[in-house]
Amino acid sequence: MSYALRFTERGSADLNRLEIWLQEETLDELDKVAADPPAPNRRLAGAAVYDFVRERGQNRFYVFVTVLTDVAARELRILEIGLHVQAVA
Amino acid sequence: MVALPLLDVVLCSSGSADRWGPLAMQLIDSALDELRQIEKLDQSLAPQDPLDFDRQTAALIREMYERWVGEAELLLQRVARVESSRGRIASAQLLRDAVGRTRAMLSISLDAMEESRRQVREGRLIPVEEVRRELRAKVH
Repeated sequence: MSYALRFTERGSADLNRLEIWLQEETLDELDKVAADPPAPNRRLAGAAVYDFVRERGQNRFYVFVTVLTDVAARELRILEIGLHVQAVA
Repeated sequence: MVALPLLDVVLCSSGSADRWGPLAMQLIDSALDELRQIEKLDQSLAPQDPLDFDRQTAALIREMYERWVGEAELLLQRVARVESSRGRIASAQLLRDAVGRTRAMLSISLDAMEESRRQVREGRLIPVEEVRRELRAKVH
């Protein structure tokens, strides 16, 4: 059962800070989550966490998304998006 | 990660190279366990309603994550030395990924967490279609 996706202004600003290709990857990942939200295996201050990793060139990109689920409104609200880039070992 | 000095001692002792790998693996497992404990604590101390942001508790938990990630990075520096002489340690990548995820999480400040929750309460939300439109406009 799919959910609508909405971003806080904060979450949208965080997304805009990512490189364009990673913004696209992040939106694609979030579309997958919204299509059938899995039970989150982590939480941060009560918000669900969905994270994923991408490798590009010599770097590994860790994207960390916090989400509030409104079951009644069938909506996922993207709170913040964090990023860490690590050189591939 | 109180056992980190142990690895230093073993790494400096010339006759104990065969113990480097097993000890490094043990310390990696212990670091990953420690992170799981912090995550459990984070979960159990979280407010019932995530919009009720408890800044003081979040700050204390954050300090635990910061301390953990600093120590895990010190461990990974030593693991890299072990790997350069003894070959890859499979679980080291698990720890590198855990550090990467934790650093990504710590890139979100407490102010940002407070701000985003306020925006939800005030209904300041942007549909994904609009976010995608903006992104397409940047690409073309």
